Amino acid sequence: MPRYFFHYRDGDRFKEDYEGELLSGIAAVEETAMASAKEIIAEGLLGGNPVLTGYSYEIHDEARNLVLVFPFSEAAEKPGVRP
Amino acid sequence: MYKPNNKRYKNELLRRLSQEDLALVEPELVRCELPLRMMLENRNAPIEFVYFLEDGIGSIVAKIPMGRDTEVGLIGFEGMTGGALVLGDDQSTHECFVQLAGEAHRLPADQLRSVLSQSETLRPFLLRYVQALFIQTSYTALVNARSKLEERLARWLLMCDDRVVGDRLTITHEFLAIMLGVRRPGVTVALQILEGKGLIRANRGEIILRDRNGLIDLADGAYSEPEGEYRRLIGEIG
Repeated sequence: MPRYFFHYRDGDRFKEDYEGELLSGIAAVEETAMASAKEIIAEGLLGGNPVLTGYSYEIHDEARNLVLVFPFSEAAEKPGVRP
Repeated sequence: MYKPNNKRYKNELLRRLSQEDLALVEPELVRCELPLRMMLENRNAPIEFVYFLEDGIGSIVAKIPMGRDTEVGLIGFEGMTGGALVLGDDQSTHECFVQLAGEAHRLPADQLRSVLSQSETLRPFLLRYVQALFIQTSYTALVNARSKLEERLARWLLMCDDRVVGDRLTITHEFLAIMLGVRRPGVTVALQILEGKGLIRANRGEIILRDRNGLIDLADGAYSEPEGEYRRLIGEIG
């Protein structure tokens, strides 16, 4: 299985994911991003924050190709697997 | 004449055994490496060995079928695996595996049972550790239900730091995800929050604690209490 890196962007802040994780393909990447974003949004709401729609995951493959930009707003608006 | 020597060990439990109990245990102890991900106990399976950790971190992890894993106990040089044996059970309910490589002294489960039956003081002493671990687990239940992600992360970083020499932690995000009960990409987000507050620095697989007291404040009572209970039950660490 290929390894994907979920870099994280919050406005000007960018945090690199050096570890990455093994996933079967782009569908699994999107599912993981969706579930993780839902989790982070839920945590934020429980902490008294507004919905963190400005955040996003920028997901790269091992060859450093950008495979998906996943704005957290997607997770706020669309259904997905349970985190 | 053979004289047991507690000072040979970094493990806090072995260091505190009475001379008589150490004399019973010591001949059976075998030093072993603990490579990353080594299984120390398997889920719903008989316990084969008990490990007194010298360094590194073992993690007791609960699983829901088809679900994700959650850590329910953390063990370093202050403790041991095999709590179930001390309580009279012969098998482990959960998995326990190495999350940070290290070393241990191990004892076959049968040998532990045998020395427990030969000593009146060994079981009461080890039960005090099992109680300390139980208290740690109860706080983990509390924070998992009530604390925010960054508060839980602060607590676990402090708990790992207590079990590691120096202020640099080489723990994987995969492990932190299990500790925090979130998907792995969320760990990057949580680390970023603590970094933004100046409490840590996270770099290529390494986390540096910059402000321990700040982390304790952020953990909001979820840290310190179980650690105080360990000191009450067992003693000061180190």
